[in-house]
Amino acid sequence: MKLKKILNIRISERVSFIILLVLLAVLISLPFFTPGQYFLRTATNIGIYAILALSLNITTGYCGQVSMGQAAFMAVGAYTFAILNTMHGVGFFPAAFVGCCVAGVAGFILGMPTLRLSGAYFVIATTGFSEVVKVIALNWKSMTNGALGIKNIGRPIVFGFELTNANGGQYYIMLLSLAAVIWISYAIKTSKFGRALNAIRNDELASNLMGVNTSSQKVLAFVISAMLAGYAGVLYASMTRYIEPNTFTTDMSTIILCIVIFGGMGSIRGMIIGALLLISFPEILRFMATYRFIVYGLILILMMRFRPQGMLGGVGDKPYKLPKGVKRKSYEQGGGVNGVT
Amino acid sequence: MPPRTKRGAKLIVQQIVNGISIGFVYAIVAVGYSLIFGVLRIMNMAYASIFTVGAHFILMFITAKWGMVPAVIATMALTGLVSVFFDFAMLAPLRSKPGGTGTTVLITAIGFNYVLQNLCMVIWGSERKSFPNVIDFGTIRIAGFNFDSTQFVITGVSIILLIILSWIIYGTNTGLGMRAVQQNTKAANLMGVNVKRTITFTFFLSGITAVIAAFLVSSYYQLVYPTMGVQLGSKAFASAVLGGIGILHGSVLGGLIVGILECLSVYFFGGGYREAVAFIILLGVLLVKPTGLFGKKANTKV
Amino acid sequence: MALLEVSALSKNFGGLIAVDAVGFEVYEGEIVSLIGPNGAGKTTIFNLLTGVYKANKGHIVFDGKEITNKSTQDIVKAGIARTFQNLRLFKDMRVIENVLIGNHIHTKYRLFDLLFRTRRFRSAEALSAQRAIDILESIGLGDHIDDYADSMPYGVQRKLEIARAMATDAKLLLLDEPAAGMNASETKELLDFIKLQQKNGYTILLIEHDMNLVMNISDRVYVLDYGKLIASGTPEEIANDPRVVEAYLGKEEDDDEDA
Repeated sequence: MKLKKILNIRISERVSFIILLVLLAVLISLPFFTPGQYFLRTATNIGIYAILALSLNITTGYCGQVSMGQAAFMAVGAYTFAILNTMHGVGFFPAAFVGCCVAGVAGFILGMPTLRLSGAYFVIATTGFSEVVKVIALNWKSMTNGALGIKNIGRPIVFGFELTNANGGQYYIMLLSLAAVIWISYAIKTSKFGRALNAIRNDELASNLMGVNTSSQKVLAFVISAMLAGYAGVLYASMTRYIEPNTFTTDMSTIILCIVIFGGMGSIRGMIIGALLLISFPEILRFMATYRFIVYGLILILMMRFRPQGMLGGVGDKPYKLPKGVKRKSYEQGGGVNGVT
Repeated sequence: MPPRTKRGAKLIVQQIVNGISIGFVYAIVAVGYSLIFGVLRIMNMAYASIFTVGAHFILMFITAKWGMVPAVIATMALTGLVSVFFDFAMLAPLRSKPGGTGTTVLITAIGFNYVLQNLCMVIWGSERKSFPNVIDFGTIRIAGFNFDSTQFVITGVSIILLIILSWIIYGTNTGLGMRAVQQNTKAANLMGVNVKRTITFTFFLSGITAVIAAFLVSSYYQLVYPTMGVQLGSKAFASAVLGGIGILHGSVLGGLIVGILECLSVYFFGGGYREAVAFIILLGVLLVKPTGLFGKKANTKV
Repeated sequence: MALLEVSALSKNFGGLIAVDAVGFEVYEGEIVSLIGPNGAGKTTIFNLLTGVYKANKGHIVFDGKEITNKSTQDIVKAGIARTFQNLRLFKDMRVIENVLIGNHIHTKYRLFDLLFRTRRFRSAEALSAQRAIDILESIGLGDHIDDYADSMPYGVQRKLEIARAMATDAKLLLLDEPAAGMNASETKELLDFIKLQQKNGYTILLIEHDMNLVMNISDRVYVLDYGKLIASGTPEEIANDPRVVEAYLGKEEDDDEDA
């Protein structure tokens, strides 16, 4: 597979930096040379799924807790945003912010009691939660308009200028959001919080006995995960301009899980490349479109069987990045393991 | 008695009866979950789609002009094989791998569930298809109440199935092997129990159970569609957890409780929030006593 | 006053009495060993001391404060850390990351700090990393900080687990069969290592089956059998105590047939 080739090449730091710059240039100028709106919309969609994968990555990738609840948090964020925006005239940014917060609260309410349970119970709880959110969206007609859904959802307005798909504005909002979420993921990963989540994934009991408050760390990770998914829901609603109780399906949660597993749990690059490949393939390989869900399911099965760490996941071989100012004695480059004194 | 109360009481009894019959269906499926959890200590996340496949197979045979009885029997064989295939091709290879964690099995099962469900959609279409109700013998009047004969059949068939299952598990050598594997797999192996065969048999049995449940549910609602397993699966799972997963009589009681509470909630709160009842029960159990009504707490070994 | 004072500690699991009214002390700077046949309740006591199990009866007083039935986090904060019978390192993490987890409770910053990389974040991380490096260098693992925990030799992994416990800034280290699975030379290394930590100011409570290690290293020994404390004293006193011999080897049979 071509991808394997990319993985096995040891690129020097300089070259990878240049590649990154080129990529960035392409991404930023994309709206100017795309063949029509559809392409841009797909790119925005891919970006939203990348954000969703990064959000799930915090709970599932870093902390090892499989969750099928991202679609539900999307729904909570999207509905809150849509209600505030269309029924109460609140602008995009404040409504989006509230949407995130409400999604976070939902994450807290769900996470507090269920995170101390073992993996399978937790998955069931998140799946059930998805069902409940759908039921509430259907039945709380006064709030959510029931099965009719909410339409004419507003788009971001910056300095009086409405950002739409046509003028590329929504694409840039997505790009900026993605950059922010990438930063958040990276910041968590390289901090004591990220280390703690990793440790919990490895051995929760031992983590506890080293003083880590595993419950609070797991809940915090879950809440952040929910907030990011809620934000993705806002972006999604703003892009499609219409949501109804069946918009945010279990299918979505499954696809997001698939991206995380395929890309590699814990790997930020994996989330992005995974989203790119898995969301675009039904567009590129048109004949596969009806079968795409089967492909997603197969990916989950095959990955677990043959490459559980995903394409880009697993333990890296770069040395640990020490903070500035830390002193070491007699550090040898590439020291081998030849027994220890 | 003033007419309002009398009608109210009548409706409550009606709902309880509804609850019992749907509760028995939940019970059967919950037993299916418990069987697998018993021998493998895993939640069979693919069970809902096995149920769905069963329903679709029956419909397929019926559409091909088979009689209901041969259709169900053929489906039991086929679905049993699908269930065994799931273990053989998906789960067993992970068991022999070192460090095959619970997460790996969980995700594989989620994947398989998704594949099966979508295969149903691709092969047979995603629309709701009608299913004939052959167990309808009209309405039965007892003591001034109208009962649906289908519900009686459902209850009757469920009870018979549960009796048969109990006999298999507690009255046969194979069942003894299942219980031994449940208690202590290594010891069972050393005592001469063929663990692989026992596990295969358990999967086959749970597949058959799913088919019977599929038949009953399809007959009652007269509908078959690819996502029919999703809600039933969740509710049956909640039932199994309520009773104590792995414990058969717990699953039965759990199913009945969920069924009755669900139908009573329709009476008191209207039908819209019906689907949330099972989830609320599940959440409640997990908060208060995750091991369920009959479950025992296991102590962590450090 | 003892650093650790345990009195009338009892724990039962349903009908099974695992620990029966056990009382002992550990004074600051000592190395005390807890020995006894398998199943005597030694690890259970460790679990009680670290908050994994809740005691049914009795008191645990550490550093003057009552810690009976406190949460694990509080106990670690108070200054007790442990290692495990069956090695519980974080396998997918590097050597240095394992030790950094030990220092988690002393690395002080909030979510805001890590998201915006404030000064507090940077200085706390640097402090924590320096401490981890210092500990690792002091035990000879300075060149292996980037290696993954499960790629190290077994003896080194044992040391790493102790280093991780040390990173919690503990006053009392509970070591659960640290010599398990080690050969003679590895055990000697371990012995020197533990003695060194005693010199560095750590107090150590040890569960061990390796009698050589126990006799050579301990200031005092407690003997447990069937959950009860049956003997205590210096290593020499214990070695000669008939009750201890009996507990390990069983009672001597009296041949009184054929009068």
